Amino acid sequence: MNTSDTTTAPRRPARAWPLENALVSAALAAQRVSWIDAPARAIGLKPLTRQHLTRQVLAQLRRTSSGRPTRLRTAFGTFLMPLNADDATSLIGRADEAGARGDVTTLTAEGRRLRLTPHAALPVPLGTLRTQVRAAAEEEAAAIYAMRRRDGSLGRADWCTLTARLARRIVLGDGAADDSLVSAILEATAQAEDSTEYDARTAALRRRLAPYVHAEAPGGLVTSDLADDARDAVVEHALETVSRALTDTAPQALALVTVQPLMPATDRTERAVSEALRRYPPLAATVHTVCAPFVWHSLAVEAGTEILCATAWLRDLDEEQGRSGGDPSASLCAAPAPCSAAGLAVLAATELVRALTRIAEPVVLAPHLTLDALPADLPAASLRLAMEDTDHAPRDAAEPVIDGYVPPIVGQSPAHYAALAAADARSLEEHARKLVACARQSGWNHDAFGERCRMTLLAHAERCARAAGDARRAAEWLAN
Amino acid sequence: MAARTVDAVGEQTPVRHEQQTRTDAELLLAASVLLADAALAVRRTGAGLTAAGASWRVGLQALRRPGWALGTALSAARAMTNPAGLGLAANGGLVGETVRSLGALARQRPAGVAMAVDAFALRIEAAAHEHPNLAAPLAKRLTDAVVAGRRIEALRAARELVALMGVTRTLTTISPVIMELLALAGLLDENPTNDSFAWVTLAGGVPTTEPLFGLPSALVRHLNPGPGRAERTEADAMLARVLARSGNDIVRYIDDISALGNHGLALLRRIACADGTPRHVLLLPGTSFGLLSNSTPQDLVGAFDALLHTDTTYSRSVKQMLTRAGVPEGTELMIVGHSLGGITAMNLACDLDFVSAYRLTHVVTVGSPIDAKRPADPMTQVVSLVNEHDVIPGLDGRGPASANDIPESWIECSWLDETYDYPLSHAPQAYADTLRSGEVPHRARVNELITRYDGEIVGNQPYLLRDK
Repeated sequence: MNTSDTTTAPRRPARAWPLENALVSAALAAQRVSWIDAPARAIGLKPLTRQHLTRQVLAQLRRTSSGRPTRLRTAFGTFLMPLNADDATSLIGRADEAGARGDVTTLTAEGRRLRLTPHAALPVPLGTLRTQVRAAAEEEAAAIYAMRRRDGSLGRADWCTLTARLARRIVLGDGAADDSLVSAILEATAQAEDSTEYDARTAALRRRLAPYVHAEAPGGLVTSDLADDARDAVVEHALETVSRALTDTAPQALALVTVQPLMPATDRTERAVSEALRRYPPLAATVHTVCAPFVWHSLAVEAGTEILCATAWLRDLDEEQGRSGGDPSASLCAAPAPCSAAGLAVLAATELVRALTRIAEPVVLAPHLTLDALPADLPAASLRLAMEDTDHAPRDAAEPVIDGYVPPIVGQSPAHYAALAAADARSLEEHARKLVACARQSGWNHDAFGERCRMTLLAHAERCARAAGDARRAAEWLAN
Repeated sequence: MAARTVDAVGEQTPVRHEQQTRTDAELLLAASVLLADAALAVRRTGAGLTAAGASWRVGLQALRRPGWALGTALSAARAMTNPAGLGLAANGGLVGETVRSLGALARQRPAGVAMAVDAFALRIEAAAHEHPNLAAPLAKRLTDAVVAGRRIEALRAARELVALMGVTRTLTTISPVIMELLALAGLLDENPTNDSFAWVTLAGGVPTTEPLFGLPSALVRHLNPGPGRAERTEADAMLARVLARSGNDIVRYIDDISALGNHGLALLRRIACADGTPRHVLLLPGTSFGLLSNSTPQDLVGAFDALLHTDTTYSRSVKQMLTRAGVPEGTELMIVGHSLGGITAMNLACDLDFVSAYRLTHVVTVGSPIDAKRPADPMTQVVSLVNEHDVIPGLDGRGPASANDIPESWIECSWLDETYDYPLSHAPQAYADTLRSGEVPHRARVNELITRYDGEIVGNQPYLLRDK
């Protein structure tokens, strides 16, 4: 059957049963509770985890609706939900052809709706950007490495700041590297509460982008032969997609690198990025608002309908049933067709991960990962990564930044606290050395006060050294 | 290092003989930075071990391996109580904070606190090099008593200092280290709730509590309610006369702010700039000291609120003023503010909505404590004018003795002039007079930075700002 088939009168989508609606509502609600799997996992009942139960619900929906898109009335809204990836792509594609595709939002795990920029293809072939992306990724990887804390861990805020900078460099050119307001407005635009706020934010974003996008010799992706409107659309979509991949997918890929078996014939970074996109798609679920009626495979879709593409759920079910997933870049763009901006985002994430793994070895501090039991969700915000030195570490960036006071994460394993205590012990020893070096300076020789200061510094150095010894012993016990 | 220029006016330089025989101030500051870092590392170590002890996963392991649990508990307890090492170092989480609070009540001084106290003491000593009055016997007695945690003696010394010099001179004398003294008092008293103020002052940042009782900053917000309102008003004869001779000159801007007074007025200026672009300048005066709280945002409660938060009645009323005046979105804007006005200018610079709507090119603050705030737009040029006798700019925790620095792109022009006593040293007129006299070179420098606002003033519109 094709989309132009008009031999039968269009039908309205089938409605799910009330029990099915309730189960889908429960599955959507369960996404918002991060610890919900803990009891089932603690007692070893994997079939009672969120992932398994959601699969069961989707399988039930597929059975009762013969795999056709179904209208669901959930506690979070009424949706038309395609029940396999092909139908989802085809349905959205038909809406696009019919000019009926309105606003697109993504549903976060917390249940928030974030607006997505409209899809726009890149004006240049991806191949021509490879060198530029690699060079920028290498520089920013060195900056990320230099921002490590004393225990080698990467702060989430530092990660987001530097990857947003890399995204701006790739999309807008080096001139926009320091313009963090562009990224801040883009993020605020996605979080707009209503269309008035969205329009105001979009206008602000365009004003801010104008010097980079409409310059006589624009940098980054923009070419001077593009129309003005097209430039804005390309830049907004590419910046959003690249930022998302670098902020979320790249740290997930770094985490997966640590558990992957060594396979010399394949590029471990490419594999890790693909795997991260497949397992943890940044656009796990998207909602497409239909702004005009259209017909798809004899199915009448009315204006105002919201099509829920549960990408992560459908992919999980397909894989469970032995079907392989599609293009990994589809996890980054909600468009029905392959997206070159998403391709660029995959390239950027791969190059960043490659550059980082070249200079340091990633270590996952939390959560605990094993290849056989990877978690169903791996939120980048709660992922704690560290970078351990390798022989290729840049010498000028080998000294980690001073931490100040960073509260430790609660509820971790003894091994985690052992590593933390060992790092603190090293830090205290370093402080003891610095205090002794300061006390030895001749500047304290001038008066009695100076000599008193010297003795104070030495006393504190002694205390730091003893504290380091105590912390090291505690670390050894914790690590035992 | 940020562009910071310090100039001295008058006879403030210590004699040469003293310079040769005293311990160098830079060395004192360097040692204080090392001690501050060490104090934070010690605190972090204590927090890590506390978190390990409170972790349910560690507890689960302990149930499985009692021998390991005993050894681990003993080693951790030894680490967190050893008086020659960390001392009573538990902190963070419910258990850690309870133990820390009990320790504070019992006047225990763990290694972290001892190091922080000595770091502050070195800062105070370093400040005394540039501010010789701090080394005078009575002032020294006061600072020594605070460093030693002897409150009665500190109060006696403060009383004698006031009896000798009067309130304003006493305030002026201790102003360079007032934040350090407040932090020390908080750290060494039996009240555990105000300690976080000391740690923020040590490391740099925005305090989340007030220094004396440790009341959370959210309480201050409740004392300063109101959506903020702006009403168009007309300039009185005196203000109109001052505005008539104004121009794109930092001294003129400060004169205009002086003429606006502290009774709720703010000024919006439209300029047809020389490059053909229309731009706006916003002039924001500071605090009225008459009442703790009045009907305008320019009151003492508003000042505390603005210091701790970015969204205040003052900033909201300014936003309403721009909307009311029909300033087009995307317009280039410069804000010049004195004291609370400067803090509000920075608060607006921190506001993503505001800097998205308007292109905030310059924030010029006069005697404002803004160093802990960061603009949302990295392209906003921040210029901070500070008379180092003025106690107010140091209220952000970064006084002359602080080792915490400001961003590289900021320009801080500071000087020591002859106004000396607070509140004279804080008055906008005093700032304008020093800049006008040419005793410090900052007038030309600031004017050079704001040349894009050169042009014809086409409108001066005062607005009356209200809390509600």
